[in-house]
Amino acid sequence: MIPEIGLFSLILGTLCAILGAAIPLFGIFTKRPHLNRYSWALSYGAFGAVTTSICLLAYSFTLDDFSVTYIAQHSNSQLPFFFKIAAVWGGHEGSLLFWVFSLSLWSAAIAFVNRNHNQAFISRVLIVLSLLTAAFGLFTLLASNPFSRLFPVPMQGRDLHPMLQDVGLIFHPPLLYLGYVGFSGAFAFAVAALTMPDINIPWPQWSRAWTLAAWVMLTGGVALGSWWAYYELGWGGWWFWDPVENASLLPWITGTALLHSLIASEKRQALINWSLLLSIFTFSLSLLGTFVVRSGILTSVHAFAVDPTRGLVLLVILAICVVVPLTLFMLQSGKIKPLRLQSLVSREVLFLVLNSVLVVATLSVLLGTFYPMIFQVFNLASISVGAPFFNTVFVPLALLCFVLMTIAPFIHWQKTKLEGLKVKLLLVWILAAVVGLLASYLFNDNSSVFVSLVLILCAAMVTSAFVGGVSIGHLAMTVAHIGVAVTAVGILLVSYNSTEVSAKMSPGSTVELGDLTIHYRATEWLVAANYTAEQALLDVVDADGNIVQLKPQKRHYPVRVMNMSEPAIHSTWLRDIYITMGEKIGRNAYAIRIQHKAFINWLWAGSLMMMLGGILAIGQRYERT
Amino acid sequence: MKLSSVYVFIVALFVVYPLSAQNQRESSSLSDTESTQSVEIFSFDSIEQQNRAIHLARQLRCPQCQNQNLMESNSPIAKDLRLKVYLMVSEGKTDPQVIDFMTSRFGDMVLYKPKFEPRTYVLWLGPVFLMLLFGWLGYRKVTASIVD
Repeated sequence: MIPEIGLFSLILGTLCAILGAAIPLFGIFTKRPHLNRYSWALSYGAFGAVTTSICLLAYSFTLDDFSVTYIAQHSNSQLPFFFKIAAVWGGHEGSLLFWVFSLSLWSAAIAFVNRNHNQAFISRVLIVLSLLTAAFGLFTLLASNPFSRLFPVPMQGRDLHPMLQDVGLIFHPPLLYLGYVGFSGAFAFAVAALTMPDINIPWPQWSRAWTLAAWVMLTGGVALGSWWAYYELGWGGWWFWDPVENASLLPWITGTALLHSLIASEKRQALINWSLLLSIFTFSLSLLGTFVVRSGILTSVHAFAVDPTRGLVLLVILAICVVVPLTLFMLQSGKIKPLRLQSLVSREVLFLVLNSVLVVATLSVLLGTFYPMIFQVFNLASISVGAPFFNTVFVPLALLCFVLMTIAPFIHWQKTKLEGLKVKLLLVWILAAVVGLLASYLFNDNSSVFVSLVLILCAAMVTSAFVGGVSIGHLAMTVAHIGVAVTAVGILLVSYNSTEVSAKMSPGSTVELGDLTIHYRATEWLVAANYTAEQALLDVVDADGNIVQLKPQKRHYPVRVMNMSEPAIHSTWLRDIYITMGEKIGRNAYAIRIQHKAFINWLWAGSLMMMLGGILAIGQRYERT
Repeated sequence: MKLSSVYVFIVALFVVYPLSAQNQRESSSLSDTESTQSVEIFSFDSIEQQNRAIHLARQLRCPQCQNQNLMESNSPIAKDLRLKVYLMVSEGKTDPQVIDFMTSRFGDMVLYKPKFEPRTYVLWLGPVFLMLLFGWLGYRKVTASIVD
C-alpha cells in the first residue's frame, strides 16, 4: 500500500508541476495576470507531493519491502540502516526521483524567498522550473518508475552495490544533484528575463544568490566524489578524467564563470549576454552530465543504467533546453545594453578574459570527452582520450586563471589607476617569491623547477589577497581564492611528491618507504552483517618513532559475490599513508601496496574554503538587501 | 668458523642475492599463472625506473575494462599488461618502444594520449584554435567598446 501512495504522490506532484506551468502561461497569453499567483501554490504543492513520495520510498526501504523491484535490486535485509536510506538514490530510478525532488525543492525555495517580490517576473521563473519538474516527473513515471512491483516477491534483496556502501555515497550524489539541479534556478532566471518585455531588469542581482548556492553544492559534490573515489576505489587516485567526472566538472567550470559574469552584470550592467548564455549552458551541461550517466553512451566505471531509450528522452529534454532559450536569445539580444568600457585595465575586461579562458577550458574538456564517442558513432576507429590529453590542455588554462587571480584585487571597475599598481604588484611578487621558495625548499622533494614556479604562483594568489587589503566586503572572494590556491598546492604536490611501494608481506615482515617503516603484525578474519573480511594489522613507524596502527581489509560480499579492497588511511595535514591489501600470495602472505600521498588533504581543505567563500558571498548579499 | 669467513659470506650474499633475484624475476615472468602475483610485488632496480614504469602504465588503457588504465584496473589482463610494461622498463626499453609494442598488439585504443596525426588534429589543435578565436573576438569586442 505504501509504495502505491508514494506513486500517487509522485503523480500528484507531476500534475501540480504541469498545472503550475499551464495556468500562469494561459494567464500570460490571455492577459489575465492574476493567474500568476497559482505559480506559488502549485510550486509548494509539487514540492510537498514529491517530498512525500521520496520519503515513502525511503520508508519502504527501511521496511525491506522487496515486492518493490527497485528495493529488491538495491537493498538487502542485512544492509545497515543508513545505507538503506542512501540506496534511495543508489540506482537509476531512485536517483531520477531525487532529481525531481531537488527540482521541486529549488522551485519551492525560490517561490518562498520571492513570495512578495516582482511577481510578474518570478512567476515566469517558476513556470520554467515547473516545466522542468513536469518533464522529469513524467520521465520518471513513464520510463523509470521506482515504485513498480515485483511478482513473485523475492525473499531477499540483491543488496546495494558494495562500492556504494560507504559514507561518501550518503552525501556525494545528493550534493551533486542539488548542485546540478540548482543551476536550473540560474537557467530559469535567464530564460524568464529573455521573455520579459524589458530585458534590462536587474535579474542578475536576483539570480546571483541562487547561482552561488548551486555552485557551493556542486563544489561540494565534485569534491566529495573525488574524496570518495580516493578512499573507496582503493588505488589512491582522486581524479581520473573519467567521462562522468568530466560531466560534473563541466558545469562547475561554466558555473564559476557565471558567478563572476553575474557580478559584472549586476554591478556594471556589463557582460549581460555572457551571463545569459552561461546560465543557459551551465544547466544544459548539468543535463548533459545526467544524460551521460544514464544513457551508457560513454564507457565509464560510473555509468550505471545502460538503456538507449532513456538516453533518447533525456537528449530530447536537453535539446529543448538549449534550442528554445537560444532562439529567445537571438530574438532578444538586440535589446541588451551594449558593453561600454572606459579603460582596458578594468575589472570588466578582467572578467571577460576569465570567462573566455574558462569557456575554452570547458569546450576543450568537452571535445576530449566526446571525441572517442564521435569516432565510435561513425565507426572510424577506436581511440581513447585520457588523463595525458586533459592535463596537457587543462593545466596551462588553469595556470592562466591563477595569474588572473593574482591581479584581481588591484583591478577596479571602469578604470584602474596605474600609479601605485606597479609597487603593489612588485610587493606581491616579492612576498610570493619568498613564501614560494621557502615552500619549495621544504616540500619540493624532486627539485622540479615547474613545482617551484607553481608554488610561487600559488603563493602570489594568497599574498595578492593580503596586499590588496583584506576587507569584510572582499572576505568571500579572499576565502574562495585562497581555497583555490590551497587546492592547487594539493594537486601539485600530490602529483609530484607521492611515492609508493608494493611488497609481499606476511606476519613479521617489514617494508620501508622513505622514512617510514611498516611492520606486518598479523592477519585477522572478521564477520560483519553483510560481508566477511580479511584484515591486516600493520604498524607504521615514522622517523621520530611514532607508531600508527593501520588495518586495511579485503572484503567479500556474498550477496553480489564481489570482493572489495578497503584501504586503511592515516592522515596528517602534510600527507596520507594509504595502505591497500591485495591478493593472497602463498600461505600467510598478501601483496600489500603502501602509498605516501603528499598534501592530498589540501585538496579537500581548499574545496571546503571555496564552499565557505560561496556561503559568505550569499550571506553578504543577504545583509545588503 | 673464522670471523673473516663470515665477512666473505656476507659479501658473497650481497653479490649473489641481487643476481638470484634477477633470475627469479625472469623465470616468474615466463609463467602466466604467476603474473598476477608477481606484478603486485614487482621490485625495480631504481626508484626512477619504478616512476617511469608507473607513469607509462597510467598512460595505457586496459583493453578489456570499462575505462581504466593499467595501474587502476585489477582485471587479469590489466595485471598481465602491467607486468609486461614493468618487465620492458626493467629490461631498459624506452617509452616509445613500450608504447609501440602495446599499440601493435591492441591498437591505438590503449593509448590515453592519442598520437598527433590527421584524425586527431581537431582534438589536439581544437583547444589552441579556441584560445586564439576567443582571444581575437574578445580583443575586437574590448577595443570596440571603449568609450573615450
